[in-house]
Amino acid sequence: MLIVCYENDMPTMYASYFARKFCRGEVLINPTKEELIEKAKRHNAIVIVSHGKAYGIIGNGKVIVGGNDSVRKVIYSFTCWTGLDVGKKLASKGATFIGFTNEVLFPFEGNPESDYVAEQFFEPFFKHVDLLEKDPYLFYVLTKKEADRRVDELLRRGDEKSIEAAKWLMWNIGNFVYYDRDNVYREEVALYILPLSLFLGSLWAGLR
Amino acid sequence: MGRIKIASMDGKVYSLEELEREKQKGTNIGRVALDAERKLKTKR
Repeated sequence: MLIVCYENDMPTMYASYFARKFCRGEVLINPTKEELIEKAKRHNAIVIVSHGKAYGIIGNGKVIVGGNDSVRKVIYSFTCWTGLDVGKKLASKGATFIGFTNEVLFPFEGNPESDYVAEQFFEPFFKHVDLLEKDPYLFYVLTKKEADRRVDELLRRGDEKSIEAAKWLMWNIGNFVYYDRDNVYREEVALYILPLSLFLGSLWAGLR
Repeated sequence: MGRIKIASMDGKVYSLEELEREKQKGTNIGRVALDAERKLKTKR
């Protein structure tokens, strides 16, 4: 497994600390796109912690993975927005993509080494990362379950920090998505192909 | 033990007071904060 962290500001440095704490694998910090492509050849699954836009994963201010890239690997994109568009495009070209369809927001206190609230938030998202290579869908399902379980536990504790961690865990897990070629195809069928064929069918029936 | 702040993976950091002001202004992050609170209330 390749763990790629772009430490471009305080939030990405914080997230990088917890990704490196909870994930096992080869770690790359702030690589260029060329360095990333070279290293990725030896791995089936890549965790990327960085900035993101709907159109691409952004590192060092540049698009590192975009919709035109063909990456036939498992990509866990711990970034804002990439589940909206680029994730689907990558999946339609053979990748398996796991990411978020909105901003990724997390609570923190200031020192990652002793930050209870940030640790409660990040651990569920990285706890099952070892599964990415063998069964990415199981990773996705277990991560959602782990987040739900952690939310319940934090709400039972009931203190201000636990409530804040629970709130942002719930917010982010609500935007957590999984795409592979099959479910992107099923979505396209449901959204476009099926309505279009029904419309054409009724048009044809009307003409007859 | 520090005070809780909220960080966005797009690079921004908000104190809880700033987030409260964003909610009043109706900005995107303010709407997100309101939605997160609404979901929490529903869950509790």
